[in-house]
Amino acid sequence: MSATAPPLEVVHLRAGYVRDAWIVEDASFALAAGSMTALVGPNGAGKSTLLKAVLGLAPIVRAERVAFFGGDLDAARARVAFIPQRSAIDWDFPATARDVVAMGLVARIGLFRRTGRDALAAAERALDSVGLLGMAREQVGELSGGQQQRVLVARALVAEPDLLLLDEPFANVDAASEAHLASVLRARAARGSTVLAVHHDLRSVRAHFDEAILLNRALLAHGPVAAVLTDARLAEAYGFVGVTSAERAPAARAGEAEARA
Amino acid sequence: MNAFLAIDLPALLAAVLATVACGTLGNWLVLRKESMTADAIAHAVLPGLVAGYLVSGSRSMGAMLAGAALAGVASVLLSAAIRARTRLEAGAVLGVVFTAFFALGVVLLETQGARQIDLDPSCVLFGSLETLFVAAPEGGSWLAGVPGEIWLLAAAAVLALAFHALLAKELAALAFDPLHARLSLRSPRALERALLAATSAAIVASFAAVGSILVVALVACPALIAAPHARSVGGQLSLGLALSIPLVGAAYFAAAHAPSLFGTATALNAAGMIAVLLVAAVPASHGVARVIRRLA
Amino acid sequence: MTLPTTGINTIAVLAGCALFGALAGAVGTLVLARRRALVADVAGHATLPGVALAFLVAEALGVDGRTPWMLFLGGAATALLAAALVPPLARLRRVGSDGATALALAGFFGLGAVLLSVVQSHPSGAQGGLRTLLFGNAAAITLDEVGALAAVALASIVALVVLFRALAIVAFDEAFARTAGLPVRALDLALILLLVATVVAGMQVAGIVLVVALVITPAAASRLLGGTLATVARRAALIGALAASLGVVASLLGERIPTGAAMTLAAALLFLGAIPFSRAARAEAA
Repeated sequence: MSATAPPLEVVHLRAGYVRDAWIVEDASFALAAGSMTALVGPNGAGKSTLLKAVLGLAPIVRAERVAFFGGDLDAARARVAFIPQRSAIDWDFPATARDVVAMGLVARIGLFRRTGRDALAAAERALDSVGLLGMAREQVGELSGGQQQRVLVARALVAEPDLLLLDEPFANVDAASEAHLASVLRARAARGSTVLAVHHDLRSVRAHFDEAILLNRALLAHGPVAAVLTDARLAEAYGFVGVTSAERAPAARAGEAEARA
Repeated sequence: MNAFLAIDLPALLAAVLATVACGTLGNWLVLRKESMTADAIAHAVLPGLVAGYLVSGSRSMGAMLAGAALAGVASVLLSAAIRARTRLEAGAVLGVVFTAFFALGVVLLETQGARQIDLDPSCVLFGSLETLFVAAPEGGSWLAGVPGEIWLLAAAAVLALAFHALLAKELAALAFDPLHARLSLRSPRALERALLAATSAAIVASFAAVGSILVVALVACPALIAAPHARSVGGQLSLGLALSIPLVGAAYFAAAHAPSLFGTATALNAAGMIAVLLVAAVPASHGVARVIRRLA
Repeated sequence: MTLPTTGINTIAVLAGCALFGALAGAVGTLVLARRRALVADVAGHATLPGVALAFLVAEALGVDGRTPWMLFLGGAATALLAAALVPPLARLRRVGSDGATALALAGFFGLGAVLLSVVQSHPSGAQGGLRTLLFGNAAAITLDEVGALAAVALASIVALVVLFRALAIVAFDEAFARTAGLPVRALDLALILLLVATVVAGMQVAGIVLVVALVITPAAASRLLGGTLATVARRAALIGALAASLGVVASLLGERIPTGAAMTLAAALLFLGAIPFSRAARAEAA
């Protein structure tokens, strides 16, 4: 395992299966350490499937290589954090925000041990870093959507991961939470962590991320945001042509609606 | 020895211990939205229980437990094999498998068991709390006369509480967010199997005493009664048990002694009465929570 | 070995059971398609308090407690009530449909157990008859009861045939059914009514504990073999009729075998037999 190995490297990955077709046909990419990358593409492009497949949470049909820090996932488990879509969770669970954040430390605390004072203090620090220290004792079900998303990010951060994989962290999140989350992720990246997030809103990609991966079943482009999200590339991915940057967002939504239909 | 010590106390003890065993593990099933798994397990273990009885030739605890465990494992494996070979949804496969196992158990019970056993189909459904009694030997202590079923239930209750204490942190993470837990826990699959095994043990231990239907109530109700008030997983368990145990006791006395107040001699089925009271307590508890919220 | 009841009686019992099996298979197809398999379990168990109540009321009125129509009405009433209570229970916080199903099942069957113990203390000698309702007993069924069973099953089959297209659309795609203007709530109620009618019709032969198997297993076996929903339903009806008939014959031959258990095992064997011919298995072999 070399020190310069990319945090995540994927070579010719094919994953997921629905109605006689692969969801992700072919994807190859490597993330640079400390980079912030948005995974964009129309609905049904396989963004979530790609993220889950590399983590072993969705079936991989075939892959030449999926490596975390140059090794396999098991060796890197403690360095990788995954933040699923907020909607995948039943928020009526009887737990406080601090309880949920402390769940990020379960593996570190180890089997048969209780969550001690140190862990709870660490959970409170993580909640503080996402601006929710005041909510530590609140039931998670009583928080707003944006606050719930911040709790999930705090649960990931509490284990101090080197690679953060997020599924739609900004979906249905209020503006204040979105700005807060973006700055928290930015700060992690500045300290060397790598961030890869499935992202929906083409308007805010440039604001939150340095790099982008454009996916529509196959990987279409990977590089700096400006180089990836060109009109020509977006037309190829979303199936519309000749829009200016200002018009892009509504057009992108129309493209998604088509993809859904 | 008076009637309370000889008849009521053993039945009460059995019901309360079964509540602790099933309710503690049921808390996790309720959090995972899997309480109906308890119904499937309670049905699927029957042929093993009966076969254990037939092979050992007596109501020997070890043989019956081993048989029940084998039947439980076989039903789980068969369900998994069917799901791997077909595209049927999980609920349908579960329905096919547990009814078939239960039917096999009923046939074994009726045809092989013949007349001499105290294990009959209606005790499988409705329990046999009424037949538990302490027969202290001449000059011996009460404890010496406690039937094996109660010791078994005590062991199941202790096992369930230990299981909870040792694995609560992992189980909570898994119940709250299975996707995240599958990445962060070393072996979530093993944890799920351990929960299934512990639940099966509690159900098998409780099954003979309280019957297949009360088992479902004991698994689901304590957690569901506490659910509208609980602020943590542990709180849901302790509040659930604290509210359920008095209800279980009240239901037992209502079944055993209330009819005599109305001048009829026969007692009502205790397991059924416990199930009715526990189930009724769930919407009642939600109503109370609503009132508390309005007052607050 | 001879059948204990021969001639016209046996033929009537067989025909009645086959009719019930066919109904269960066809209704089961729709119940499975609508993902309500466990509601069938609830409905079956929840007939017990109604049956016991009907018995007690009948005896109080001086009528024979085992009058089939009384038992049918009582069983249907509590089964419907239990099925109707599942959705509002499921809406309670942290309960969900899984918890609501468990509550309805345990609560109603528990109430049935209590009422059954009241029936048992009843001076009337007819109480022995209610026990056979747990696992079914085709040998003890009277011609009257077969007639009632057949009438309920026939009426339900007719209703099913009339409503099948609409029920199939709702089961296949609820959202589409709504936009197409179908009364989804009314159709769901109709399906529950058909399910309750099935459970009640099968009470005496299949028993209330295992009647769910005749609803789920033939339909699941038929689903394995593929085809449109109508094809699956017709085939499920055939499998159900076959399983019910085999079960009756087995239980009449082996005196101590409860009919419901025999029917369940017959259906399970037919299901296992269908697995090698399932679409998924064939796709793998290809």
